[in-house]
Amino acid sequence: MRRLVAVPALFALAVAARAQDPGTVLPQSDGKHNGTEKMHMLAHVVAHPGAWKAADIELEQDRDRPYVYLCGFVNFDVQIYDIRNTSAPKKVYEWTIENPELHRGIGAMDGKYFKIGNKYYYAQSYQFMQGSPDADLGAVIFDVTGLPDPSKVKVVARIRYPQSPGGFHNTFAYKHSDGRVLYFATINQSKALVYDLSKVVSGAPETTWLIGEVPNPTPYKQIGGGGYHDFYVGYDPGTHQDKFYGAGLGGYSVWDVTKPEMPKQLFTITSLGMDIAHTFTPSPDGHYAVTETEYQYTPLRIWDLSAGQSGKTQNIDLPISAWTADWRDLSHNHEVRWPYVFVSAYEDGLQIFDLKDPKHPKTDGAWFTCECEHEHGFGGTPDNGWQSTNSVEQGAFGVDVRNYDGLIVLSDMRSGLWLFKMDGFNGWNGHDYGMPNISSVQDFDHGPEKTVKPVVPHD
Amino acid sequence: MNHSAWIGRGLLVAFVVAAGGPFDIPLFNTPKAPDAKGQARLVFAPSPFGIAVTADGRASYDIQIEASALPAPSSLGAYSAYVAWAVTTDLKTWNQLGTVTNGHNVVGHAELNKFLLVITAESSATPKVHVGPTVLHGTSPSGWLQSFLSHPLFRGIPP
Amino acid sequence: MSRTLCIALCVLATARGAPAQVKPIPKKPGTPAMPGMGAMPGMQADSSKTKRPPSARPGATRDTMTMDMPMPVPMPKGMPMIPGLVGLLPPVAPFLPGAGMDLARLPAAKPSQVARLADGDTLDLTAVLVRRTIKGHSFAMYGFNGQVPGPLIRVPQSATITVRFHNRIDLPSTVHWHGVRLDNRFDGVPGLTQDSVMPGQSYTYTVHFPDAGIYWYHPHVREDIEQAMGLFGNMRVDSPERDYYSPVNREETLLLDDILVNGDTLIPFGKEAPNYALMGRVGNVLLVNGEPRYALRVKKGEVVRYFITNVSSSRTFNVSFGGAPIKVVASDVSRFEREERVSSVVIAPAERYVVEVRFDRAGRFTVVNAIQAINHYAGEFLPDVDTLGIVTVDANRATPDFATPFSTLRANADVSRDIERFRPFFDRAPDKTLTLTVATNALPLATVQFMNVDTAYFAPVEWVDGMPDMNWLSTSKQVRWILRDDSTGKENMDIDWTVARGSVVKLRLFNDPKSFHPMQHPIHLHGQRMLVVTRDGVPTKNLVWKDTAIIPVGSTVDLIIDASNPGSWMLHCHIAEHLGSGMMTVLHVR
Repeated sequence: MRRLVAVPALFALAVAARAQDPGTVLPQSDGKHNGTEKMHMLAHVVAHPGAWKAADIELEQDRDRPYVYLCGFVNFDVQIYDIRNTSAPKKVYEWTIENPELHRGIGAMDGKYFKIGNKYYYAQSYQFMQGSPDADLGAVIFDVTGLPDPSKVKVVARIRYPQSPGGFHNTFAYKHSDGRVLYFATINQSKALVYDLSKVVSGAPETTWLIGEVPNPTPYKQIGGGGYHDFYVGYDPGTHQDKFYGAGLGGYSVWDVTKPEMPKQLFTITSLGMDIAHTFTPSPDGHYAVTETEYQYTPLRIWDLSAGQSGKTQNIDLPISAWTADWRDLSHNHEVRWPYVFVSAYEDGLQIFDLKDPKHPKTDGAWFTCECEHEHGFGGTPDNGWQSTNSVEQGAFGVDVRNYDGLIVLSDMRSGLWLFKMDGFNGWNGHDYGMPNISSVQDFDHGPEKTVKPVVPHD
Repeated sequence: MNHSAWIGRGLLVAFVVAAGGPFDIPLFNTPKAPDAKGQARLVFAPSPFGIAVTADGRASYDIQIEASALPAPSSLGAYSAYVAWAVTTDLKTWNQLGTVTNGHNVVGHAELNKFLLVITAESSATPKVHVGPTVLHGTSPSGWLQSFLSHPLFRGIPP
Repeated sequence: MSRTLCIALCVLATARGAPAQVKPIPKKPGTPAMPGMGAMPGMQADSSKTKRPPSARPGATRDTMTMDMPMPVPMPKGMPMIPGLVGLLPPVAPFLPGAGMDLARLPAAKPSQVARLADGDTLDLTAVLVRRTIKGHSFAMYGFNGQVPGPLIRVPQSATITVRFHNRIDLPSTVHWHGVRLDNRFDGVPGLTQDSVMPGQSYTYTVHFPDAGIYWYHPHVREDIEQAMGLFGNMRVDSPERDYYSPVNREETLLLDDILVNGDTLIPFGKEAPNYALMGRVGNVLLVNGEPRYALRVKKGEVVRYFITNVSSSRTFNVSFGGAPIKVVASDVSRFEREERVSSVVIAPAERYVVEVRFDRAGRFTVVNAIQAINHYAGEFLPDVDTLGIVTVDANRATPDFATPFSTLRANADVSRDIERFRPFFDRAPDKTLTLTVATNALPLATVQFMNVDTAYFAPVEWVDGMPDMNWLSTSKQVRWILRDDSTGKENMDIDWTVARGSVVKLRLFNDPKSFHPMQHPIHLHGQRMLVVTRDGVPTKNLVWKDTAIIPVGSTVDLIIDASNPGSWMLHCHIAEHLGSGMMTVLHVR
């Protein structure tokens, strides 16, 4: 019987790192080059030599802070780019974990910027394996107020969670309705952690940083447990609740985190094929949601959450529609600027579709950034020496959108940093679409919009 | 700094190692010694019981190190020797094991449950602290012990 | 069993501890209920007996289950059973000594007494049922002559005694004289040197003691039951040399053991085949000389010589004496070439070590078994210390003062001379090689699945049972432990080795780390003596004659066998359940 080595499969990325020597021209795939007519590629930065160039990406929103944060993945670093000239991003800062050669893990995964008072910060999540130094390190917090002057960027804190080695895979910085800036983080346990970032950056005792935990209520049936992969936190102005939308092993769950110390479960989304729930993003009013599950061939699913949000049901098990770029592939992350959904779609690069009719998603634009051979992403087994031969998990990893002008940034595991614009999308405000002005973008100065806006009518 | 190459190699070989014996430690080079190669093997320190452990049960190992293509230490700076260390995984404690040259070396004892095996260039064969650059490094087989919740099965990746 | 797997259980435990209000997934009609976390059996030790009809649970074995079996098996704190194993039973009928008997009518077990015998003496040795009380709970168990441990047989070197063995227990039995190079006819192996002695029958052994040292005797039938239930005892063979050992103030005998209980209940054995076949039965109560707490009072400065025997089924011990200095002087069949200072005594099942300890200050010295367990849920090592006993040291100084001889590390030139003629054989190629491995069949699916989700690390020695439920459910019907002859591919009793009497045989043992469940094996050879000459290519610098050698996972160990004693001799793993699962072969010396 095949035996598996119980180390995170993501670490097998290293195989591809070796398989592709620096400088090797990657074979082209299925003719997926460039993009559709409405899409304009503004810039492309390779960012790192070697095969694996980036994990997730974060984009600041203020007009006078044109900064992009590129998570370095197995390069164990974070790079900050000044993109005031969107045609020529300029790297202004780079930071690497100390003694990188002695570390083992997938490294710099997810980044979130936040603001407290008049200071700006950036939280870089890290994942190092047990047995590696910093296996308990979840995130490194930088004071980036002084950008673009790199000498003014300082590490101000490190969040560690030794009870669950392996760090933070995904994080979310949220301006809570009570005024606090909270940091949600996944760990290798069946819960998400909630930190008060003001305590973290102010030098308060570490014992005061962690203020809550959100359990994963959807146990992975085969093994009786499992953690979160990703989440979204947003305010529901209709119910005046801060809500946590979690994608965890076993399914999706929605929680009331108005009191983050005491989360209350509201409802779940579970059904066949939901076990490896990966990403979960609602519409600004919480009526709909887009979810991703991490299987090849799986489309993004669109859900009507109203029955769950209203309390009529405790579990939703039937989507209303689905979207995919290519049925052979898999999407990864996405950002919702209703009705548009911006997808970092692995081999299919940047994909944009809209949910003007939620039951009939329509693709609006695309740009192929992977430039890779189909099913040659990371994966494999010890039997084949961890050679990546059949995985579609390669290519576009993270995406972000700048609300004030519609700039789109994308990080691609194989090709690096990309900047785009799409015709007809010059910025986003939920009010323009009859929605609350709520997205993953936080108003750190004023907090979430609390005014109820008309809900999009549905059948 | 270009980390990709050695990080990638390191992680790759780590997985190969994971499928190897319980006493083997492949060693990875660093940009300071990009051609250096190494392989280490743990053997129980001499003991009348056949298994050497401390009074509290930690295994006590001598380490056999096969190294090749190490450049002259002086080529890296004001260094005269390569020294092997057993390092706690938090990098706080560096236990000096002995000197390493190209060829077969036996150094010991490592008495840590999990440790990194690090070979650095130093200005002395018996330095008080490590100050020089790392040329080769590896992880004890026990260093691969992971929380089961970090297994792909529990992280959304089917086996 | 150090597989990766308590995890799901521990995940459940983690989720159970979550502070927020977690609502279970609503069930549709007909949907099988998911295990409710709070109600999960195994969350706490359950000492109540639960009657389970044979077909109570879909998927459970239909083999007979005619006796109440306490459920569940004792699990370490915070480690619930694997969901897929809940409710399953091992496919064997349960067995406990004295089933159906009135416990109160059994005689109470007595402590071991010394039977000092001279050449030509006869000893009656009777295996009987006894009542033993351990930590306030009484159990029906066994004892030789009603004693636990059995009588300490003390004889002079070269003596020959007669032992009339009487079987008064409820199982067939024999007596094997472990480590003694006696006449093969009296080695006590059913099917090889004799038939089993049935209940009510007797058998007479003639036991000759050619070598000084410490040995032990135990049954060689269903050792997993009979030895575990108390049928064992020591033999001390005194050398005629007055200074065979250094002078000491006193001598003590320690028989290290453990027992597996669930509150007031013994965990039953398998009637027709051993359970706990994967790892062996590792107890959760440690015993010294049959008691959970050893106590000794000595004077300050006393040197105590300890004769230590590990009589447990599977546990390897790491014993120390509260920091008191220890000197190891002898092992199974001889003294060491050189005495050595050690910080603790590592002793595998069936091994013996003779050590001297000096208690050089007043106070209490805690005798402990200290190991590093592996918490597979957390992926971390976990210090695990069990107190075996207390040595209380008076302030009064001991006389005579043996500090000087204690501090002297003697070189035993006679041992080195004896070994010298074997040295030419050390470096030659092995005459025979064995690979230690395992094969399984029809284990519970959850066991197989979790065992295959393996860690990248295999501890050379498993000190504790990391998966009691998987272990309990494995029987020798499903697990076959294997000694494989690499040159022929033959396994276990199919191996047919014959060597000439007087020959020197180099045997190489390799413990395959890639097997389904690699773990250490204490390999024992009857009737001969052997040297462990190399471990993983490293020569042993301080040799001693052994009859049992521990082979850690992944290790290659070379033995030199002095095949001087004619007959057919067992070579087997001394983990009782492994022996019961086939891990044995025969070496014929003609």
